[in-house]
Amino acid sequence: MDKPVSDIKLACRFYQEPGGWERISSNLSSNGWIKTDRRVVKDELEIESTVESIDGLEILLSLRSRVGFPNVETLKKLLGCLLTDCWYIDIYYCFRNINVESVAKELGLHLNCNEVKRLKLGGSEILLETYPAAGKIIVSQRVSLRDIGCIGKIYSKLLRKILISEVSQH
Amino acid sequence: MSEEYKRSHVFGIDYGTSDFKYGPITIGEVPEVTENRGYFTEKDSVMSRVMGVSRNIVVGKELPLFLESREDVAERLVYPMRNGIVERNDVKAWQVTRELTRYALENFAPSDPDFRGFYVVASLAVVAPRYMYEQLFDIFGELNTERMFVRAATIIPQPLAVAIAHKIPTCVVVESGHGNTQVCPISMYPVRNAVLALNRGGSAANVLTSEILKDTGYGDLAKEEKLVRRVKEQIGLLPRRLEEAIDFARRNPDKVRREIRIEGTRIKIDLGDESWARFLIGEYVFNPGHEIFQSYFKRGMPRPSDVKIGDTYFYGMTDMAEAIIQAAEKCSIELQPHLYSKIILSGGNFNWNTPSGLEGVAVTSDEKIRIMLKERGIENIQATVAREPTYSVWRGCIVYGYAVPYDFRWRWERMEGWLNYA
Repeated sequence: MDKPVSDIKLACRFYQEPGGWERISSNLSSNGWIKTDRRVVKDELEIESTVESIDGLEILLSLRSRVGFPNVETLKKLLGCLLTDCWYIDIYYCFRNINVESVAKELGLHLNCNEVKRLKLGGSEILLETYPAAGKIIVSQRVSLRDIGCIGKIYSKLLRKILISEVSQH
Repeated sequence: MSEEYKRSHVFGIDYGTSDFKYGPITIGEVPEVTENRGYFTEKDSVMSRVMGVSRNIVVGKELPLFLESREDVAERLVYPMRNGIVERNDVKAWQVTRELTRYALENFAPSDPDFRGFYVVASLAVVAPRYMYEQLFDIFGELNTERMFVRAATIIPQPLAVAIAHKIPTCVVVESGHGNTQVCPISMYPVRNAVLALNRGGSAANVLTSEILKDTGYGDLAKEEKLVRRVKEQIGLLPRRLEEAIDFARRNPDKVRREIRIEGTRIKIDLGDESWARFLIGEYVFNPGHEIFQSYFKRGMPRPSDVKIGDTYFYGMTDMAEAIIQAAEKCSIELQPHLYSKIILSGGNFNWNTPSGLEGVAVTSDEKIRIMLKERGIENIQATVAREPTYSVWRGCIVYGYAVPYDFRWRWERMEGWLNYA
């Protein structure tokens, strides 16, 4: 099995009035991100605008990190910055090249095929989806300004375990 | 059902001739990939009964486990598409297409009471006839009788998916996969009467790689198609200009020579003094008409031929630049400069890199196209290779599904919108 990889998608929802890439990218630019066309870059992170909804109320961003999974503090800062413009953000962490069964065991979960589990972590509801045939686990969470504090807990109690449990098998 | 539900349940399927790519919006940047083929099992045989094989058709990653060492494997193993087209009356091919579609959706359909089906965006070759759209919509409906897999579906041409993924409304998309190449001018919608199709893709370069392996003493390996493909990907180079590259290779043999190992085996491949032939592989993709390839044709290597499938001609030997020019020149004169200024190269057949030490001799696909078009007098060319070109059609499907409102109904006259199954 190849090295595990994580992709992160951010579905950013604006409140009542349309936002869009221009608004997001100019906000990030004023916080030290460098803009090139549909991408912004800062340190090890790169954000790409994937698509905007036709009504302009939502934009889907793709977040990549050169160092594997992004540093949690950096991620929290980024979300804090985005949430000055957005009402809430749905975060999708997708882990691929994963041995789903062994990760589930590590987490103490009994998962059936393609199961969706709703977990409460740090006061926040998390959706954990497992797709053993595709070797993928998707963790998703809705974050508003008051939930940013939970990101650290979710990382240490769930995401880090998924990453470490996989790495230990290689 | 809401817009919010749709956005988180978009599912992209790229029906490539060789590779079938699929997955929901949530899986990030890389779809699942499996070969577009199916194996018809001999369900009534004693061995099948003993082994508990209950399926008529096997598709997906476990297919190789079912292959029998028998001569009739060729009859049982069905590749449903030829140049992106499934023949209308080819029952077995449609059965495989149905099974692959089910396999893709089953792999990701969550066991969740809130799941009400995916919003499926399928992508077909731009030359796919209307009956393929109809049959595919029927398949989605049939699959729903077992379980609600598909809430709504839409189908878009592959080059349009690429343009959508790049958000470029006016461009020429050259989508080159394993089996064929589609050159499609786009001005908001595909300009269908200007589309040009080539009867060659990555598989043609595999054939040449196989001949090179035979010539260099690896004839035993040249029969293994998957191995040949890996060798092509590791040693193949795209020359800026073929004559100059061969001359460079002969003067600097050490810079071009490379030994590769096949992972998990003891096999090592080294073309030695014939390493200049690495440049032939890339050149053949772009310009099979170069006189250097005549010797291969004379020795029996099949020449990419012109074929007619349905109402579409697929040309074998037209070079890439000529194909782009022919397609662009079928559009209005006013549009042509805009088309040349945005050429998007997509598909795995454009994945060529420049290794260090060979800068200026080996080039990437966009650079090659620029040079070829410039030699024909075209100015202001801007060509770009799609980021991870193998997946750009699937990504375009996801972007399209996310953007099109859930209540926008399918219209046959425009071939857009959602066909609802709820």
